[in-house]
Order: sequence, then structure tokens, then C-alpha cells
Amino acid sequence: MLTDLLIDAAKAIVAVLLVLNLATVLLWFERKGSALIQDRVGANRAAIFGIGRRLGVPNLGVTNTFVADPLKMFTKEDFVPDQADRFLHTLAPFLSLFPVLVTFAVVPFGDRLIVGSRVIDLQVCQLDVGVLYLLAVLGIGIYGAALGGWASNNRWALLGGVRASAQMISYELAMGLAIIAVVMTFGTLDLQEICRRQGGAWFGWLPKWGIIYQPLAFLLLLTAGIAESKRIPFDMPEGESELIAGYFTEYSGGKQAAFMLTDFAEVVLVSALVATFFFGGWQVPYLYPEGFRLPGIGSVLLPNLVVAVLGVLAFGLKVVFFCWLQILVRWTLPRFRYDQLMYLGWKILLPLGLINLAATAVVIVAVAS
Amino acid sequence: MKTPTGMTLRERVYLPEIFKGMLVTNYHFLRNLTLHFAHLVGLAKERSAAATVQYPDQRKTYSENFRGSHRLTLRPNGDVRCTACFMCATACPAQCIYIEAGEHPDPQVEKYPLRYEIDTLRCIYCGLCVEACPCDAIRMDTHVHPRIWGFDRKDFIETKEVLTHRSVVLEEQGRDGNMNEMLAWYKEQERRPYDRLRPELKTYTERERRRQELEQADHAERTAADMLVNARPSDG
Repeated sequence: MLTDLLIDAAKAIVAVLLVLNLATVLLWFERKGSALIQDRVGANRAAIFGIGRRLGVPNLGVTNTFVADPLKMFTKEDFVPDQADRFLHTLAPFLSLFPVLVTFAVVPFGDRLIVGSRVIDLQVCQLDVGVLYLLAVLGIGIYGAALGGWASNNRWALLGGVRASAQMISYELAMGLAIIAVVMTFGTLDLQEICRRQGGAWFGWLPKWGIIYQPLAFLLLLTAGIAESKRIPFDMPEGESELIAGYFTEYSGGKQAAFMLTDFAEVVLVSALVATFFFGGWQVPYLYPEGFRLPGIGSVLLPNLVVAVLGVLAFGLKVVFFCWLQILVRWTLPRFRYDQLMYLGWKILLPLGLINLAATAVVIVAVAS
Repeated sequence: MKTPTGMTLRERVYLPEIFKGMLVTNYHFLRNLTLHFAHLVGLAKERSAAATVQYPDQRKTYSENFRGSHRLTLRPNGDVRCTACFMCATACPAQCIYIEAGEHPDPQVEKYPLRYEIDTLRCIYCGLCVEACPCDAIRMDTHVHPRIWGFDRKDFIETKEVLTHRSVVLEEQGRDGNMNEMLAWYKEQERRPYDRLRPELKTYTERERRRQELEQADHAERTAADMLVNARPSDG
């Protein structure tokens, strides 16, 4: 009993720490990567006593993102505007960050790990209603942005908060429809089970990943996901040219860091969801619980530990790839206009999602009968 | 919403266009990443991984016809070419050139400048002095920009020694020489104590009093010199 609790706690801590650290690494990558994309060099000045330079290590802006920025963030004044609602103003960043982090509870990051007689499912929390939980918890995140805007007693912040909630509600529909199509395909709401059903291969070589069943849903989920994370090209809520910083205009220090971390944690979340629903999650092509079965070459037997580790690595790789893809999108596209955003959400993504849903239903019935 | 005209179906579907755009950004990303790694191991140094110049670690050389700081040209024997004819000082719209003429030991040469000073705080780098000079004695082809900072106004007054030295440097070290020398001067100044006048004077009042004393002494000295030669154009 106690061992079970400890294992669960360890899994939860590892998952949260991994997500938070990946989010910070993404922040660093966004700086240096964007510099590479734009033919610049990027942050390369901040250093601690020039240690790196003396050792001949190139300055990659690591000190900047991992030391200087956090130090600045957490030593800054915690500012609450005059006549703002102090309680709600403080609550908002937590309400923004918390739902994103707890969502990772149902995201499986690996297959079973067998230690002695104990079978450890590499998922923080095995829920039969995983997908519903996911959508429900993500919905709470809207309150963070909306409250942050409302409680700041600032017109820009309020506008940003209103925009954020309108946008997130609009795109949640498209996101939900895309996920429902996936749920219909695999016939389960449990994310671990969805991953398991993507194992195996057609004709012996084509992995049975969700993208093969649901290519349209993949595009819908990725688009809606980027819109949910409020990043360029969907960053109207922040809209720094007209709203300064949108709903977190009046935030400073640690609270602002929480909002920023939310953005990057959402990038990780969208990547994890896309990987889970459409790219087999922790599935490695041709890897089965007993080992590799390569088509036309033969099979290699592997111990369970190696298979589990390979699965976790594959999941990590897929997540990192989609994070990278989202950052690439962010540095490729300019911002949409607000009416274009609403047009895309309600008149394109929503009908496409409904058509996809109907088509999926027809195909499933046709196949079953 | 009205659909904008003049777009093909492919453009209106938008996804292929996004994909094309991402190919462009990805190309830049991968090319620069590869180049950075190549530079780390010492390959492809001649291809830059960034369009930006990492000033002051790197710098762009000025163009061939860049109108930079002045220099006084020299005769083959090393004497200054200037004959102190005052054409430049007369042409100067900013009245920043101060010349003190003296008799040359060589009877073939009429005059030469005892002092030739350019106050670069007043100079507007218009080049009229170069145009006015009848004997090609002053030029602005040193490929170095004016000094942009100093500790006091004196640091910005370029004397005859400074101006002729630039000619020597240009002759000996080529077009980068003067720039290198100025950057070296900057480095040297950075290491100098904050108050180079009297570092032992700690308080602001002490330093300020000392500064005023020095300024008054300097002023008195200059006024005396002005009265002696009676050649300095009066200030506005």
C-alpha cells in the first residue's frame, strides 16, 4: 500500500518536473532557435565570472535563461495594481498554471514496467475517463486568463482577458471534436489504452498510428492546440502591439513567470496530446512488448526494462519534435486578425471537425457491419 | 467575410503555403545550426552563420570613400605638408580648426603650423577643409570614425601630433591601423581610474574643486597664448 503510494508520488513528481524543465528548455530554445531562424546569434553575453569563456566553451545563452532570468523573476517586486482585487489577482496565475500541469496526470509516457512481481503502468494516474478529465481540466485554464485580465483593474488587461476567453472557448470546440473522432476510432477514453491500440502494423510495415486513421483530426488538434496555448499566430490575447501584454500586463515577478510557464507548458501539453493521439504515444515502430519484429529482417528479443525505456525515450522524442514544430510555426507565421481568428475557428475548423466526425461514424458502422 | 480576390485555391487552403513558409524558416535554422557547429570544429569559417555583425568583437570595415577622422599628410622627408595658410580654418563652417603658424627653417618653405588643432566636438565632418586645402595637406581618408567618448573636453581636441600620427599609421599599417589604434585607446581608457585627475581625492566636493582649479589654470594658460599670437578666432 505504502509502496504503491510512493510509486505514484514518484511518477507524479517526475512528470511535473519533466514538464516544467522542458518548458524552461523551450524558453531557451525559443531564444536561440529564433536567432538561428532569423540569421542572428541570440543571447550570448550573460556569464558568471566568464568561467565558460575561460574554459573555451561557447556562450549559448544558458546563463541568461536558466540563471539570470529566474533570479530576476523571483526577486522582483510582487506588484498588485491600485484597487485591483488582490485575491483574484493572486489566484489567476495559479489557476492558469495548475490545470495544465495536472493534465499530464493522464498522459501515458511509457508502457508497463515490470519490477519483480509488480507491474508499474508508466502513467501518473490511470483514469477510465482520461479524455473527459483532460477536456474538463483544460477548460479551467480559461479562468486563469479571464480572471487575470479582470482582476488587474486595467483596460488592456481586461481586453486581453476577454479575447483570451473568447478564443479559448472557440477553439476548445474544434479541439473537442478532433479528440472525439479519435475516441470513436479507438473506442476508449483511456489514454493509455489509446496508445496500446496504436501498436502493431498493417501489412507488416505500416505502424497503426492514429495519423493514418485520422489525418484531418491531427491538423484540427494541432491548430486548435496552438490556438489554445495563445501563441503566434493566435496571440491576440497578448497582442503586444495593441494590448501591451494582454491579460498579464499588470503582473510582475513570479506571477508573470507562472503565466509565461503556462504558455510553454501548454506547448508541451499540445505536443504530448498530438503524440499520444496520432503518433502512437510511447509506441516505437515494430517494437512489441517482447522485442523488435522487423518486417522482412527478423526479430530481436529484448528484456522488459529495455522495451519500457525505449518507449519513454520515443515518447520524449515525439514530444520534443512537436514542441520544435510549434516553435517553428511561431517564427514562421504573422499574427492573424481577430476576425480571421474567429472565422477560422467557427467557420472552418468547426465544420471540418463535424464532417470528420460524421465520416468517422459512417466508416466505423460500415466496417462493423 | 469577403474572400480576398487574386488568390489561387492552393493559397486559400493556406496549409501548403504555411508548409512552404516553414520550409524557409527551417532551411535557415538548419543551415545556421550546421554552420555554427562547423565553426566550432574550425570548418567553413569563411561562411557566416549570422547576418549580424558581433560588434565590438567583429566590425565592418568602412567603405573606401568613407569620410572619417582627419589626418595631416606628410612630405617624403616626414615633415608636415601644411603651410599654415589658414584656408581650411577660413572654410570651416564650425570654426573648429585652430592654427598657430611659425616660420619654417627651410627658406624654400614659407610657413608651417606650430599648432594645428581640431576640436572634434565642434567639427561636423563636412570635408570643406579638405576641399579648401591648396596643397593636399589635410585629408579625411583614415577609415576611422571620430572618438565617441572621453573623460573631458581635452580628450576630443586633436593636436598636430595626433593628426600627423594618423598619416604614419595609415602608411605603415594600412586602412585598419587607425581603427585598431582607437579601439586600443578605448581599452586603455576603460582601465584608467575613474578620476584620472587626482585618484586620491575621494569625495565629490574635493574632486569638483580640483577640477575647477585645473580648468581655471587651463583657461588662463590658453587666454595668455591667445593674446600672444592674437590669431584665435573669437568664440561666436
